[in-house]
Amino acid sequence: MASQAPPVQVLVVEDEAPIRRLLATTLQAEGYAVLEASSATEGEALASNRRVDLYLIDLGLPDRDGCELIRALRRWTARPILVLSARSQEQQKVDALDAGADDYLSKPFGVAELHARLRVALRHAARSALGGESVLRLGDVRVDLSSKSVTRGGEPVHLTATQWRLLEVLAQHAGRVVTARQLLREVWGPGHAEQGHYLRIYVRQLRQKLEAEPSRPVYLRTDTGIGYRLLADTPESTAPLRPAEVPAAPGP
Amino acid sequence: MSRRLTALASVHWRPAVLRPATARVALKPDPHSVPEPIAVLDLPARCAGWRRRASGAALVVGLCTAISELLLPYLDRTSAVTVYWAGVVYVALRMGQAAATLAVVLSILAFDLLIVEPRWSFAPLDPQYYLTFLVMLVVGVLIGRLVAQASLQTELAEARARRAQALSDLTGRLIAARSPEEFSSALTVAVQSTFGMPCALLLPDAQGRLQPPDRESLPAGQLPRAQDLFDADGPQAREPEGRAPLLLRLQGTRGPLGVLFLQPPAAGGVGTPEDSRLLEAMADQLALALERTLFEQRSASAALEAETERLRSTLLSSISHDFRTPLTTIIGAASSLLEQDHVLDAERRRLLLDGLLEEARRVHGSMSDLLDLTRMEEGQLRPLCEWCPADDLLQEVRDALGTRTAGHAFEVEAPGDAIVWCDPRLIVQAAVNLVDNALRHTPAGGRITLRLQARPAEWNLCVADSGPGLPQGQEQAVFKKFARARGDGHEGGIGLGLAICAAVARLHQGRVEAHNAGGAVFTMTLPQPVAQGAPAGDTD
Repeated sequence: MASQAPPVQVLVVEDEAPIRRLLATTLQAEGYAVLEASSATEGEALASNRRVDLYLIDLGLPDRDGCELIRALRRWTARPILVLSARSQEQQKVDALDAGADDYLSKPFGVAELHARLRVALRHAARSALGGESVLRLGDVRVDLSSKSVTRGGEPVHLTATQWRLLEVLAQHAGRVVTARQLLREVWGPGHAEQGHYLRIYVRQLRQKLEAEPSRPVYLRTDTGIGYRLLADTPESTAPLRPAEVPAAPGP
Repeated sequence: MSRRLTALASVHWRPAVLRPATARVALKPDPHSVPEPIAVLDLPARCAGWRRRASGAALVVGLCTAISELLLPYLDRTSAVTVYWAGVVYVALRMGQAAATLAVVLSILAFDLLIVEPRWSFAPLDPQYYLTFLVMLVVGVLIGRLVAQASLQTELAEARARRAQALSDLTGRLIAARSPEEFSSALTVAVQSTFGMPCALLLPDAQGRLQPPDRESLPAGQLPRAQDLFDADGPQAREPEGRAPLLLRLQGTRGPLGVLFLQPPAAGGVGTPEDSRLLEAMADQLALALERTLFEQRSASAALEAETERLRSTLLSSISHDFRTPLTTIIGAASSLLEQDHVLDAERRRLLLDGLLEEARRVHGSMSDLLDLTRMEEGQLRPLCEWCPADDLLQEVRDALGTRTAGHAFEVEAPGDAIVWCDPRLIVQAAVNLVDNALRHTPAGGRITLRLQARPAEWNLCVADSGPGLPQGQEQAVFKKFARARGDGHEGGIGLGLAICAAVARLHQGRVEAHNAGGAVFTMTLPQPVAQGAPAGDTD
């Protein structure tokens, strides 16, 4: 974070003091300013009278459901919201994302993962504020949202209407997870239920058009049990920003 | 085992059958009971049958007279006597001794009146016929007696055989019976078919209160009576005489097991001592069978308790081992970093930190396994199935495994265009567990293959390794909780990985199996519904 600009202010709403302490320590080390709250009520009070650039909310709060807090915040703020939740609580995460959270972190998480998610969320917020970025790069694939065109190595790539809508929705949330429910709603509209079972097949078709090796996707990733995310190359580097590789189960 | 049946007699039992309550049944004959040598037939039928038998005897004698009349032109008059004897034998055979005696008297009268000259007079011309009449009487009565006795013996033997059959039928049914309902129905069938009277089996509940199998079969007021009998102490447990219906206490070696309720017909009762003994033998068989089931139930629940206890102690030892070991490393590394910071060089510090992180992840993994398996087994987790491209799924497995497969030759095979029906999150977890298991048991550099095969109605996920394989006979045991079939220790985690695979397969109505084929091969087979128009025409 640049030292000349005012530090980014992060509001941490987490009832467990050790986790709050860990978050504060690592965030401050990275140059963020940290506000701490131990309950939803306290968090909401802080949010309403302090400037907050990013919210980090634990879903297991003692006084109120985390999703409720997210909905309350979303009524008046568009600032990025990241949720913290246990690994096995997939449905809780999906609910939080559908309630308006931007992304999630599974507990326990690594610090690298935490900062990567924070950076993506802040970059996206900044882009939205500037009116949005309309061109994404996925290796040699170029996606232009304003002219609705996709090229691969300069050659135009033909997408069906459904594939384009899918790519568009993912590109609008580039770097962040999009839940299956969100995708279905935005691509197929309200009567999307029957498509739900086929979502993975549509995503695979899109991968075949975009990925160099469709069975080993680099850009269009699946968050098992949650949804999908499009990891576009960042403008400043050509390497895709990926979640840190944290094994799901203990290694030998 | 000493067995005892407490019999309570009512008015319908003959005095000879009223034995002390402590008498052993069916083991040796009761000295107080004198078997009656008469035909075993029910009383009301016996009374009603008298007239029928008398008229039967008269009819036979009439028939004999007619035959003699017909044969008279060709026979000597005294030879006609043999025709009457034949008639008497028939009556004795079919209608018993009394009827035979009646037939003899009637025969003499008919012979005198119709065959002997002068006809239609009881006074014969030849006085020697008086001797003939006497001989007829003596021989006829003797024949009747002998034949009737032979017939009675046959009848008794038949009745004995019938009783033995009834008892053996009941024993057979009781051996097969397992539940109180089955006992009750076996008994009802046996008593109904043998004695033609309704009965009911009253068994106590956990509090010792008798429970009738169904209330309709028990007249009002009988339950308290049965309860009194059930609660009464041993030998003196005896109902006041002269009360019907009949209650029998089923006595086990360690106290009463239940009460048998019998409703004899209004006029009759159980009948002969043989019948009552049969009834007691049946009750005795029932008591034996009931006691056997009781012991079986007790030993089964003891086995279950032992198994639960084994699981609990395995869980405790697994948890204390699998959590304490990594926690020891974590606490040690962290305190070392805190307190020895000044003496640690960068490399050592790095080593401690790496160990700390790895062990913390191990604790997290064990805990997650335990939680996941619990949620699956308690039915809190329902699979959310969707159509998944096979290569997609296997890529997720590869992603989740990360760099763990680096030390082995890990290959993934899947038909390029296959799609399978499953909950991808659960299947990925199960596949990762199978591969992790193979990694643990295959020496470094060994080959591990993850293969997906799709067939029309099912698909399977197969993990084959080049390790030493599973111990003989342990192929299914490895899927049990906390199983460590291949005898590994700390490396094996908490021993839930394969149990989770089995639970995932169950949730998908599939199965998981293991066998040896140049190493261990684990195969998870899941059903595949017929694909309903997968999105087509949208590929272009």
